[in-house]
Amino acid sequence: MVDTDTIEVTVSTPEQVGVTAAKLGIPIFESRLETSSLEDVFFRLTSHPAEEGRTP
Amino acid sequence: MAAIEVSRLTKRFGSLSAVTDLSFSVAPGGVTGFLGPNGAGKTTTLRLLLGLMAPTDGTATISGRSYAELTDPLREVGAVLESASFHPGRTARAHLRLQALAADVGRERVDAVLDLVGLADSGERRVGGFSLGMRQRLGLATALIGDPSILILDEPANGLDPEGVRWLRDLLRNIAAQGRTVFVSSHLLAEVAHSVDHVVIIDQGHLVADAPIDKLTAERGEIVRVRTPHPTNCGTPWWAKEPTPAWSTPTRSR
Repeated sequence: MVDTDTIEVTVSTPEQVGVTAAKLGIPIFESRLETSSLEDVFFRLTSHPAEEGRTP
Repeated sequence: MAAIEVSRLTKRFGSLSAVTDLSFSVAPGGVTGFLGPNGAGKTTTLRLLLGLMAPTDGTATISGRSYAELTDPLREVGAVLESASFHPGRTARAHLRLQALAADVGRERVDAVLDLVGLADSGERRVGGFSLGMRQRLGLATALIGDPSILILDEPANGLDPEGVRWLRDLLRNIAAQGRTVFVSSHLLAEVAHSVDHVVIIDQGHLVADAPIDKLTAERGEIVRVRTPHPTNCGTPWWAKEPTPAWSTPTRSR
């Protein structure tokens, strides 16, 4: 078993990341594109930082 | 013409503004989700749209007219609000017959909608004995009785079991595929993500998003998640060679 790290690269594409890794001889065991979920977007748009620290 | 048009809509209750300068439109032939936290103004907006309260300012129209101006409202718009209630002693079929009379449609439509919502075997049961899910189905049958081109539904998936949620999703999609308009509020975000084409999100009475769901989730950020034994190359993050990259701290897995 090989130790691996999971990194998250933004402002890029799987193709760009793969080409760069190939040029440098970096092995990649897994690569996938993830988009925000509707839930992520919803909370980003409707969260109110001033209220988050409020106690009930 | 948009099926539903909300323009600079404002509703104040005393000093409290429930809806403020809200504008959006809903196109036919799709399912549009209407989202927002509790108290965001969703139900107020729906009530304004259905003529159940008057706006302080602005307009909310259906096919270019206010609800009060519709000549045949039950055939043009079907609606279920969260607070839909039924006479508990009346059977489902009796309830729908009354609705059919009001909508001026034939009694055969009653059996058609009972079948459509999966209550064909429960038509003679009293509504008082219905589960929440069955009440939701009956509410939907009520909205569909006039065979309307526009459906406005407030939290229709509440009380439905997983099979019912999937059934509702398919039903709404089929209705939209007929070129009709489905405008549906919901708190079930994962379900909405599967069910709708477009979302309108409001918060504290204000519009915060109005976009196709694919575009909204894509433009809010994509990441490439990479699993590699070499997160760095000679101490330098190799992916930093990408144009304007950003990255997270690597997390170790085995």
